[in-house]
Amino acid sequence: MTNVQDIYPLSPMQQGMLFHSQLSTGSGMYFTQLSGTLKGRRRAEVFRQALERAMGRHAVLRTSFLWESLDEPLQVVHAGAVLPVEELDWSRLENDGEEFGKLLEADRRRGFDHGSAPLMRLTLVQCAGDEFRFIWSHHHILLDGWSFSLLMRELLLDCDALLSGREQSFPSARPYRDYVAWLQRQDSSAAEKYWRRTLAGFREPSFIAAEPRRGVEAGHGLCERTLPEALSARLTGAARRRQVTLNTMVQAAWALVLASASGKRDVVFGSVVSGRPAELPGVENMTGLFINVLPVRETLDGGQTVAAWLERMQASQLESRQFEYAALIDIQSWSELGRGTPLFDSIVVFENYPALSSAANVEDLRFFEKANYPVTLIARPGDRFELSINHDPRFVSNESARSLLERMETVLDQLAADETRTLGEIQLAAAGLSNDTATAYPKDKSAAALFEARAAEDPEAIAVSFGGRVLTRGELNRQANQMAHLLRQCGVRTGSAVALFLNRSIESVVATLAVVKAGGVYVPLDPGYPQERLRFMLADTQAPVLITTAEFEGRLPAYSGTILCLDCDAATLDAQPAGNLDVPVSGDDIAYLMYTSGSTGKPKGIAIRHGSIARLILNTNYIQLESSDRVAHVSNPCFDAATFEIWGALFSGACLIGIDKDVALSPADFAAQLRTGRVTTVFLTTALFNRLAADTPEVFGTLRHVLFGGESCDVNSIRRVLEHGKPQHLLHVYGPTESTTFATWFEIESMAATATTAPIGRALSNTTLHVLDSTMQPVPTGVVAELYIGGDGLATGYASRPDLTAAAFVPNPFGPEPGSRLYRTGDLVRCLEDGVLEFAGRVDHQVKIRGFRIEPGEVEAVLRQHSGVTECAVIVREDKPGEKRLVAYFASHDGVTAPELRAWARASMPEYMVPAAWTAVPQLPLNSNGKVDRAALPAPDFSGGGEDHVHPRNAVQKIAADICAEVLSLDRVSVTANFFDLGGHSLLATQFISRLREVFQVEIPLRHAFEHATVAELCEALMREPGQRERLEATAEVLLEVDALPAA
Amino acid sequence: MSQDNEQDNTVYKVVVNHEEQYSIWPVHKANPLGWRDGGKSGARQECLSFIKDVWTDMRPLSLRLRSNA
Repeated sequence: MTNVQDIYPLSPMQQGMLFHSQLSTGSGMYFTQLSGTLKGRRRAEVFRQALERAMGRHAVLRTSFLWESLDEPLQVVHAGAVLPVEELDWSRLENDGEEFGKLLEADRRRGFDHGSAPLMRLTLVQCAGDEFRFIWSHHHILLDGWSFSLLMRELLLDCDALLSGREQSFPSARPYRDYVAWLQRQDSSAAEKYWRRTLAGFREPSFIAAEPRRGVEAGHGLCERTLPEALSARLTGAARRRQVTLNTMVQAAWALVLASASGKRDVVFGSVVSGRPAELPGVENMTGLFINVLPVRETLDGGQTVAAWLERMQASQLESRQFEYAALIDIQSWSELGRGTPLFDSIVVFENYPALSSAANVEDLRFFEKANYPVTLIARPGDRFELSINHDPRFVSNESARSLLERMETVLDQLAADETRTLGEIQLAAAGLSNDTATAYPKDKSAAALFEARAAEDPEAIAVSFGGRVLTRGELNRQANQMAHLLRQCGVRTGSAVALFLNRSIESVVATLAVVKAGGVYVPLDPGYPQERLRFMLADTQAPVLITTAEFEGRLPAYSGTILCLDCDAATLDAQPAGNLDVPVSGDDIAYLMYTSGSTGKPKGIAIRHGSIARLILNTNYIQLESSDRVAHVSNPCFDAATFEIWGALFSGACLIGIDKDVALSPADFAAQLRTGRVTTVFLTTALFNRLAADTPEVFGTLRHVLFGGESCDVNSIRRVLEHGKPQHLLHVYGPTESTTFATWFEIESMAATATTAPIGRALSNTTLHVLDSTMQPVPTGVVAELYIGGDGLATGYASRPDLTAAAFVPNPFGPEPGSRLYRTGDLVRCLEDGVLEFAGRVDHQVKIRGFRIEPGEVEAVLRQHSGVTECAVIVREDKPGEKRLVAYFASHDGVTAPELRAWARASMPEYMVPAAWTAVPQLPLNSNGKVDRAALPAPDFSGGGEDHVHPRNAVQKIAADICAEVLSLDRVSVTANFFDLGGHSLLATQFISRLREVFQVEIPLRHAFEHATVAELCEALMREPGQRERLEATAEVLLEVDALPAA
Repeated sequence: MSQDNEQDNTVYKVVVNHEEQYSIWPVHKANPLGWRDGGKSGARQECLSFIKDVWTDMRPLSLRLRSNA
């Protein structure tokens, strides 16, 4: 080691880079590469000489790094490091361009050995025509961009001098160790105070991509965008006028783009600061790694003006400069985010140092650098402002990166424009949704009038068939008329509520029609509902009349209105006139009130207009029902799919085929009834669809329309249906009751092998869709945000709930109709590239675990990918106050066990999405609406959740667990506990692996600590290596014996 | 909706449309076309409580006029 000139610690930034490049050996991380062409052998020779001379002047270029067996890594400056030069002769090669590309790639893959200086090398390739291509590579840990630029200037000067035989002298610069020493003198408690205050309350990361895309390889993506000259000039002008830096403008724009991409208003991203302390004389001429990555936090207040915001941002940046010596890893630990959750996934680099200009004797200069963040935004000011994004394709696709840059331009344009504009008024890109859905349909007609026209057209046609009983259109119309006349006599007027206390039957269809004929509002109530719920609904609607049958009358709670009992009052009914009533009812009158079975709080009665029903059925885009159709009546009348079934049949002259209530829960019987009833059209809840797909998939092939929806879908079930014969139209539908049954639809023709879900599709006719962030700004394609629905299907509101109505039905800022409203669905969707929507869960089902928002529906969707899973549900339980955990329930046809599924889940989704408890069930319980009854799921068993202490099972585990405990400063660790859950972080992982290597004398890649985060898994991975099991076991036994010896 | 309600510091105002349907809108944004101020601004919950008191007949105005005719 006589060669050693100096040894000193690393700067925090160097530590971070060292750590990350160790972690991903061979990935080209932090690899910096400059390539170009030099004319003539002499120039190539001079370039090499100049580089060697630069190594002599700059200690950093002769530095290597030590970290193994050390608590803290060190850097070593070597007196005489030799520049590795590789020379290739390609002078006879025809097309060297492609080959050179491969050479660049191979050079990146080769990386550097951190332990031996220099961490740089030169490759010279002699090409045809006396041209020399060169590749000069180094590790970013040596130099930052500013230093690199200084070095380039020196190199070019020296090349010129050498060529003309002059001796160029360079002033000696301060060594990098002075900077490291300065860093160590800084007041870390002041920095801690500042950063804690800055990040206080930031508990949810504002990630562009919270999880990796499935099935995408690591790589290096690059997108570039040059801003127009006029905009570039306006930006510079605006910055000057407001006395803020261009860097601040760029950061402001990024804060807004990030807010829209992440759906958060409180955002944090990384910013690269130059890090050169002004109090270190001559710092501007030093070479080394001075930059630091620090968090920038912006809480966006839509009411603030752009001018005021920029001013404040500038001020806080000046303040943070005083504390920019802090290490990111420390700042991370001072933040309130959960352990192991990075503060940000995007960084902004503002390149304010002189750009690499092509020198006279160097051509084709090309620069490559790979950073460690999913998104790195680089801004280069100039006459034409350049923006580029380096992205990791595992997290961000090329299209997304391009769209981020487009939004940057849109936002910068607006930041430069209007002084008085508020942040809330800044427009980002609109999602590619087409809301051009208007068609002509009889919106002013009442539901009664629409059916009466059908009855008059062909009174003998069969309208309803229920278990052998049939009614022709004429009979149905007559019976409904008689009941309607009686209802009028009971005092029913336009707008009066009439409760229907009936189950699915011919009577309920007649009664439904009768109520609207009388001008009333039908309110279906399920006789199976609990008394308390029924009492509440009856009081809430104040219905003066209730229709029931003797069968259900006994279940009725105390009711003060008039009861019309269909069997007891049969004679009175029969005596009523049979003709149509002359009651003026318009499309704007309320037709029905449907109570949502709200999961929390009191049920809400949703008021739907006659016109909204016509909008669901007539002249629409998703279905054209014909009089030859036979529509199954499967749904509970209290579930709004019944609206589609009943009125779909009555308005189109189709026949309504009643399906027995219980049959819906027995697939074989259900299939039989569909066949014997010659049903052409059926709506199924997703759960029912899945069950039929599993048991009787062949039943679908004969149907004309199969519509299903209501819960997140299962691609395997869809595939089964497609394989066994697709119905003519297989429609995935979606819609809240508040917009009359269906709002979107998607026709499934086939399922791609890689598909993980079926889209919910596009808007129904006369319906508009908007995907909006929390400030009601449209979000770009691909971003998950809340769905808002507009158009003619909207309910007028929640009966006698003005406050809830005002909160859920909000002003529509998108027009075109003045004064119109949008319904906030509370559903999360994303708009795909082709303008169709994909369901992504419920806003209020989201749960925060370790700062991540998790949507159980997304976890379910992943679990359904497992071929053995037939059904699954993931719910959030809070068995201990404040401790929310995901619990998975699953049914399997081939006996998949909970541990197998858990292991599979761990490999398929990020750790934080993996449920804590797993329960196998024979099948999921369904409620009366055919949806999964989450309340009826059994209590989970958490014993396998890593809660209990698991003792080491063998000597190797014992030794590893002891080391792990020591590194984590714990008394003991459970061998199944996750290293990072126990408080481990990346530097501790480095120490842990380093100690293991020492003790067991084996090579262990650092990434093992991340891929096998428990002692048990890690040991298993080590012992899986050929021949290692015996060796490790032997070593461990010896160590334990030594431990057991009495102290000497 | 629960997402925003937790930490919604926005100041809202009550707005009303031609059908005398009420809703709320952030004060810092211009009213969407067809909506006018309803005479109250404040926290979200304050505005909703105000609406609970004033919006007594929830039928759209045009429907009310027709029924009363």
